[in-house]
Amino acid sequence: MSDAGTERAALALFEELIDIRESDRDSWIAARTLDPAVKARLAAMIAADRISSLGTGGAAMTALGPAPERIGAYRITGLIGRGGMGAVYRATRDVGDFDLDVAIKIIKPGLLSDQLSVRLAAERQTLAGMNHPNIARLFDGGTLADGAPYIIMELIDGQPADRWANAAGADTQARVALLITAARAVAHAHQRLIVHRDITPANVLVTHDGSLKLIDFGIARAADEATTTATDVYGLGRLATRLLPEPEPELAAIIARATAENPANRYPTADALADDLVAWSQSRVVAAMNGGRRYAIAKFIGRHRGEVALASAALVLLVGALVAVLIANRQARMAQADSAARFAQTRSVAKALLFPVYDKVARVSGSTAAKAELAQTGLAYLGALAASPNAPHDVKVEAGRGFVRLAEVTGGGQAGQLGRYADANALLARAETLLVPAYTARPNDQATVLAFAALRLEQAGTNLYNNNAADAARVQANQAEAALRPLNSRDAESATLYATALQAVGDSYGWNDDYARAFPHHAHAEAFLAGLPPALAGDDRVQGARSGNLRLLAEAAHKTAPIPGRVALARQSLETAIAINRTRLAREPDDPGRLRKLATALWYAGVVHRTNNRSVAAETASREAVALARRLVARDAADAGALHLLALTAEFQAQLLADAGDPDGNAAIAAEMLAAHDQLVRQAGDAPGARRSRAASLRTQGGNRWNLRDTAGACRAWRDALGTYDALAAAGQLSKLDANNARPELTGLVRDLCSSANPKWRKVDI
Amino acid sequence: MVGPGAEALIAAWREGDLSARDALLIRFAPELKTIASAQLRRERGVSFSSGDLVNDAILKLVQMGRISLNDKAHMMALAARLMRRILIDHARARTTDKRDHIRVVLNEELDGENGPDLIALETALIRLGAIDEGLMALVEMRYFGGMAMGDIAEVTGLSEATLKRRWRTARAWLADALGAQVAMDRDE
Repeated sequence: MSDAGTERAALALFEELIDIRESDRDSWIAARTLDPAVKARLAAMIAADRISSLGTGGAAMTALGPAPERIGAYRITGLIGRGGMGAVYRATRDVGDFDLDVAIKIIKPGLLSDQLSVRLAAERQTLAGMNHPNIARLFDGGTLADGAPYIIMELIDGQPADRWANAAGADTQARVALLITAARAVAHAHQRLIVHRDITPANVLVTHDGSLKLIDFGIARAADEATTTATDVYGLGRLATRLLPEPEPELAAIIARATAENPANRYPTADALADDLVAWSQSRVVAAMNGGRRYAIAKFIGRHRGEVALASAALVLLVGALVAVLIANRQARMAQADSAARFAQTRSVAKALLFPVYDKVARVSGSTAAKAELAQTGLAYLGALAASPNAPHDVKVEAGRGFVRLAEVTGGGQAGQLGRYADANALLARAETLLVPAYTARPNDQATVLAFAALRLEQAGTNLYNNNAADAARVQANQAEAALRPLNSRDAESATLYATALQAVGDSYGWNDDYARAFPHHAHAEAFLAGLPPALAGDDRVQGARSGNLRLLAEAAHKTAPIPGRVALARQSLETAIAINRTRLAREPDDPGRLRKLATALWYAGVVHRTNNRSVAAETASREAVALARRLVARDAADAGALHLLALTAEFQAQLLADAGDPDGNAAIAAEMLAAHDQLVRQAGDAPGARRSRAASLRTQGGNRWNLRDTAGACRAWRDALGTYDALAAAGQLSKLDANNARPELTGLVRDLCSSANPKWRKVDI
Repeated sequence: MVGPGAEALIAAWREGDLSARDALLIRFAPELKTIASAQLRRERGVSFSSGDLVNDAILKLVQMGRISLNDKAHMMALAARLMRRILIDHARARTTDKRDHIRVVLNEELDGENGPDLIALETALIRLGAIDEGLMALVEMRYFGGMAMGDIAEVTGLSEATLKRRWRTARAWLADALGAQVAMDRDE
């Protein structure tokens, strides 16, 4: 091994040698050392430099994963830069009728925790809606096949603000103007509850035409520490030190306040910072100096520097600074109170949008889209408040409730929703991340319990009616029931939710036609609701819940009719439900929820009448049910719940008309039914539940046509239905019941009755 | 808030007093080590660049009010030194406990997929430090701390052009040393 002296000599020579052309190196070395040991060490280092195992820039770049060729509508055209979090590419849109160059940031897969990914996705949504001339637009985002999150942003061709200012020879006024623009842009984002988190010159670009753009909003850092708007005020202050390396006293005071170590001593908002900078620009009083008359003296000195002795100026400034500190302390407390007030204000507006306003709008027909918008707007604010790590418990619960609500209107299993089930599932997942920890932390807090139970019930409904997953739905309904039990008679909301939970457990059995098991749960719910104290029992929401459960109780009783007393119970339950809903509807004649409940009760009353051979009563009830469903669809075409009701009531009406031997009447109402189903499947994005409903209706209608001796029509309907069941089976989405009943039955019918070109009618038992 | 001593120590370090740096290291080592180790634990099984770790550790100290952002470059240099220790300790531990995986990319601009053998690198670095402490510190900051040349310039007082030359020199020396190390192992 070489001794240290040889090594030092070789290192020193190598450092200089780097700048020597390779062809000149031998003579260059010969002129500097005769020591063969040093020469040998140099030669070894030169060789190692060529094949450096540490790699060179060029070699390392190829070792990093290749860029994807394209992302969505964008083709990657080059690399802009790489950093710890990932890489940024330049890309161009080459699909559609307009060209657009963008920057695409790809974050290394696995770098973000699940929680951070969720937050990133949430902020992306808010950011995408932000439109400000000084904030780079965020167009889109998503996840690549390998799990790497990506963000598509406006491509900004610019220089970091400080470099631009130096290159352009910008004077103090121009630099302050840049800071004001940046602060106003940050304030704009803060009003939408987006924090940048990493305001540095590298993220504040100035384009060739001198306009300023903030890039990488909210996504620059994956830091999950408590970042607040005060972080950005600090960042703006640091940006100011870069733009104003030698600030005059007023500007120094502004920077000092923006970059105060204690966030409480900083400007309460980016706007306040901008205001002071504007005041400086206009030579008005600067709040940061905060000296009142003393500041005016300093300002006077500023304007008459030559006339005032330097010593006295220093004294005045010193006194001014002391006073400023005292006042700043008092103001810090006020600023804190102020930001608390802003928080409370934002929260109350968001809450109002999500809850009371939403509830009022929900009572109006045709309001599904409006409800979704209200919930979305409210949530944009509330979700951002809840995303802050030190958000209070109740804000998290409110935001969780808000997500459940938005899920309900987006694609819940119930009335008045847009039928977008995949979106609803994602929203429920967000609610779950807020409400499950909240419920674990405070299982006895009423608001928390109600929000948690509402989440579980919505999940149960989604699982049952949309995902066709009865077992999962039952588990969730049972969890809601257990959470609510201790407070089920406390008020109308608790009682309503509790009864709904019991009903959901029953319905999870009824969905798979296990009515024997469903019955006791519906009976339990009815006993609970009927036994409530009069003040609660008479509550409108409680009555609504009771009506829904009575309908399902009737169904369970009807389907288990051989058991003594069940036929009478079914009829009695439906009459009670119809009466309740006529009363409720008289109070709010336009409420779609009441219309829907009345229609459902009438429809099922018709079903029970038909089974018990009361055809006139069946026809009367059915006609009214179909009319109500049509009314709901006409008022709100976006309401999947109304479409579903129309499909359901029309299917039954078609059956009654087939019973009456009216092929034309049957065909007309069946077409209406099928159109509703087609629309539902479209809206649901081909979700299995919607397809299953459509197939079941076709199966029944096929039977109707067969009984009307229309063999071709029957076979058409059956083949269509069988195709759906086969496809569901191939995707592993066929329910057990359908696998055991509907599919083999249809397979047999198509094979036995529809195999010849012109199948001959013979009576079969369908 | 920087303790009154810390600010003075950083100022002394800026003036070239390396004992001030060592005093700072002793003062901040427990905190930096806790932060970095927590990050490594949390990110287990995930590729993580040591530069990001150092950066995040410094930001955390700033947010905790322990240091001022003005001193960021110097604190990063301290953190780089600690990161080197943490990673070497980890590499040594890993040879005895194979279950514990932390995939750390030291410097993604340089490493690509495969970094060098950490323990061999450490042996070589100790030797390099004995010959030229400045080169060792540079490797530490650049390689273990992921520091930008501009930040290293602020800490060392050297120009970026000089630093680039010295970085290439250190790299060549280490590459040679690491090659020799393998050869030596074979001979012995």
